[in-house]
Amino acid sequence: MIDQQQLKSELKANFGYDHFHAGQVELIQALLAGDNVIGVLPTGSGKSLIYQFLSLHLPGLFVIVTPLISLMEDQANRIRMSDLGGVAVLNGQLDFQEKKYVLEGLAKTKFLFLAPETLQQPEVIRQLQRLSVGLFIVDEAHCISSWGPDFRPDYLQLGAIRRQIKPLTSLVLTATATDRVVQDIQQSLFGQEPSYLYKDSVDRRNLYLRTEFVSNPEEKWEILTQLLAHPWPTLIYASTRKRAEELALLIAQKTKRRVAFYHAGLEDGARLHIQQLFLHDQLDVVVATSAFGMGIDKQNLRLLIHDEMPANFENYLQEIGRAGRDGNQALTLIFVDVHDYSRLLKRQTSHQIRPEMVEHFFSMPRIQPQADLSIEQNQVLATYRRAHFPQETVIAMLKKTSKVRDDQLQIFWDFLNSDQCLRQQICRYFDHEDAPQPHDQLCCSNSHQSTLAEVLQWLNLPAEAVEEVANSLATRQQAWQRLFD
Amino acid sequence: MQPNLLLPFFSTDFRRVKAIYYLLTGKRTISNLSAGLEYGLLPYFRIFPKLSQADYFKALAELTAQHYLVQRTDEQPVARLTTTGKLAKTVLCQQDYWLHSVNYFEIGDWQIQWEKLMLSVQVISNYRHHITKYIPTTNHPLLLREIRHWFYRVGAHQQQEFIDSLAESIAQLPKLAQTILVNSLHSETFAGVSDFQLAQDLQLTGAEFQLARIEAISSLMTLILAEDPARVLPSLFQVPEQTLSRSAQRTYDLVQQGKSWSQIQQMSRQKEGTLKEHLLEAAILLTDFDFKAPLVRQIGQEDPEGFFAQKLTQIKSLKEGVSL
Ligand SMILES: [Zn+2]
Repeated sequence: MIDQQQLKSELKANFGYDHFHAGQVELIQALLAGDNVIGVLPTGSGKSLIYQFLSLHLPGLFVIVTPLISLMEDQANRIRMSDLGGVAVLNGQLDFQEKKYVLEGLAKTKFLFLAPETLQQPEVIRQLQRLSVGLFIVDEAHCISSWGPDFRPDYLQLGAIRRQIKPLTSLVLTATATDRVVQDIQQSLFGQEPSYLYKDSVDRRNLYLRTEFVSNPEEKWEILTQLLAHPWPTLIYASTRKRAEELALLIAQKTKRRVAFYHAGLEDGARLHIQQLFLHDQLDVVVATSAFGMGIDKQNLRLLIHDEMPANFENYLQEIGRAGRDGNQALTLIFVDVHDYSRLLKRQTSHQIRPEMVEHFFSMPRIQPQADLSIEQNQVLATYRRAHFPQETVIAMLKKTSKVRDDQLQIFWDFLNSDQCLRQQICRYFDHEDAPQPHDQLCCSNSHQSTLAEVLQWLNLPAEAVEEVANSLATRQQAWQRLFD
Repeated sequence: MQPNLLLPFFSTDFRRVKAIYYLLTGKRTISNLSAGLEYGLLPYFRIFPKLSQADYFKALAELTAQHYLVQRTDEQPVARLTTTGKLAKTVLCQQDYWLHSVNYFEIGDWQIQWEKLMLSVQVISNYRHHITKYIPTTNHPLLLREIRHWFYRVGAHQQQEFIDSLAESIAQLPKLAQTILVNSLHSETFAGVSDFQLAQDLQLTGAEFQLARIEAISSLMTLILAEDPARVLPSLFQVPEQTLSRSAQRTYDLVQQGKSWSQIQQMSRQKEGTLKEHLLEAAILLTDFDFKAPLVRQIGQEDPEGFFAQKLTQIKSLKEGVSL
């Protein structure tokens, strides 16, 4: 086994870091020893460094399965910057010519990112069987479990596909998994084969957790303006595209902060541009929808706001995990309105796929989108059908997942409304043990317990050096000078 | 979709609403293309490739509720402008963000041209500053390859020509187009601004800004593609596809080579109906389509009451009407 000291000097030499994050070195050692590995590591702990590092040791193609197209592109771009080998992306956004080009170039590729549904295509599997796969990586692996909130039926096929493409070894990653979800991951991907599990605590001590109770939009806006008066790099999660756009507009009109909205309706180029601007502190505030992953590694997010509660603990934890990646103190704040619970429950019920919808979908001679179903509903049912699930099983599974969702919403709602330490509750839920450190002034609060002004005083968040705001747009001459001189 | 922005695609005569949707999103069928010819909307082909049918119909419903539009269902849904609608259309078409330069079949897909512009500027800007590691402005693998090849082909001399002639071309555009193009460009040394901020500063709604952007890139392309094709900008932005779809082009080539109908059927192994559609596509889209070509006349005369002959006559008269 390669010892830790040697791995550390390699880390310094090839990636420029002095230390590994918790779990990285353990997972790397286990993979180098040929074990299959499950890693439960918090958001921002450098999961992609693990396979980047391994690319210097393991031969063959690295196949990385990841569910969100935007995240896939961002991860791929980050590796492209590092000269570790060819990078390719396969997803539903590519047209026929592009896909052909990527598949034909696989022999020269080291990292292949793809969506789970793309990996199921026979021509893709055939191509992978022809090549040797060194490492099979499943990201966001909690999607495999119907006990998880983001269950994706496509993920259920990954175990079978893994057996077909026969990788040297496999790495399974997730940021949030309860024991039950970890069991599902093990069972579905590895069955009886042994695997090495590394599970880190989800606790991030430098994140202050705050719930802010509000009773109307005006009150919420008042608190928002109070917060936005500070020059902290800020990310706001909104629940819908429409809300993200409206809120960004309001902030643009009423404050001096440079703001943009960010959601799946944006074109690729615009999305990448916003990420770059945000990363380089040329945007102060981004209002994003939670359904859309932002794969940039912005280190200095000081303020993270949930405009409305997400549907469960898991999403909440993933999303607040974007704050304070540099290890410095950051404030995460979630607005809670008494009506949120019933509103979310209603939204969930309206998205639910009822048995008669399943029956109708399955009665069609072939898979075809149904006009009375949403895009997402059509996708879910198509996935089940592609995987040859019997109709009754699908109905039963959908019933179960909808029950799981309702329960999770309830649990999260109770969490938001409790007066106990929020961090303690998170640790008990995910880690099944108490928080490593007891509650103190820099831990958590809700607006019944202390005022926001008090909290801001305790935290004394570092102000970031914000680049001077240009008052007007650039002229052609100014732009040319900076672009080409 | 901001509903009023759809008004210019309608007129006071009834038009087929689905055909207009398919034109705007770029679905190439004979029925859509000939509707495009009939309504004078061919230049707008594929300007909104991502517009969903639901959004489109929702916008039309709003326009109808506001009495800009009257909808009716004949064999299929049709709509026409009311007097109020016509007035609003006239006002809209005079805005500086309205689309006067767009033309899919002459300057190509505006989105691809836009991405090419962004990427080529980024590549050259970063190269001049010796920056080699950065995230490209686009994720499309074939476009990345194309620009990479182009970049290696153009030497240092042509790089300077690129920079100078791009500046020159942009300087000839209207003020709005200049502002949008200049501030959308970005590299590691010039950040540009987000579309959202640009729209704010220009006091345009998101949808109006989108039109302004399409107009900006289209007017730039119109200028560039009128230049000598050997120069560096036209060499980058030349429209790669022919006007016709690949298969239609093949069929039309065979016709022009003087092959007989049965020879063409044999060589292409396609159904007769498909081949006829290829000819109709050529008739609609090619300015120099030869309606008098012996083979074209022969196929028409075989079944003068059939779809092909009828459609061909209709296309011919529409085109003559246009050129008058
Ligand atoms: Zn606490």
